[in-house]
Amino acid sequence: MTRQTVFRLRIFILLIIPFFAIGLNEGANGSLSGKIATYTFTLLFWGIHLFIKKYWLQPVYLRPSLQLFFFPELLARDERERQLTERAGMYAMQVTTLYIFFALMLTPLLPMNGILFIFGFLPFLTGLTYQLTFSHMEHADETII
Amino acid sequence: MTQQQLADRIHVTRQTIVALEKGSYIPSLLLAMNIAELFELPIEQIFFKKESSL
Repeated sequence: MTRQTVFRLRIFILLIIPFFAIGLNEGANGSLSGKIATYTFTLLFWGIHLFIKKYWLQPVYLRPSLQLFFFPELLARDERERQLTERAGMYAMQVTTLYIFFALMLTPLLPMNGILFIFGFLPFLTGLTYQLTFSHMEHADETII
Repeated sequence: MTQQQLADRIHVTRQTIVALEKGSYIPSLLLAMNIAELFELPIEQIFFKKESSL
């Protein structure tokens, strides 16, 4: 599995999450409990993923394909690529922080569905930022002298 | 020696060699020592600080 395949897979799965959340919301006919469940589900899914990765999951316990999904930094072929991976992750976290900040500021102005929409796309936005940042930095170094 | 051959000898990617040549990547001390060892030159003859570096 190449790095590009892993990144595309991550983006795809992160894109799926908000649609699950929106589907759950619709399934609950827009009731307050359904909306709260959707909101909680979306945040928990993303939060649990990060928590597991940070405190529990070790690459050695996983199959190689899963290792690459949860730890794309393992695909780095040398020290420069490891740095690029770390920087891409850092930029993604900065964008996520800004996104949450604006979402919270807009909360009083939005109906519940708007809030769901914003937070539902949070994982996707983070993943996309990560991918774009890494691709941009990688491309910048591809120039042949 | 091509970029690819150099990269293979010091176990990095060709892109890293390109980045080093362009000056867009500062190597670790270990990588710099490996390159110096390969060319049998002192590190300071290969890597040096520009006046505008700081």
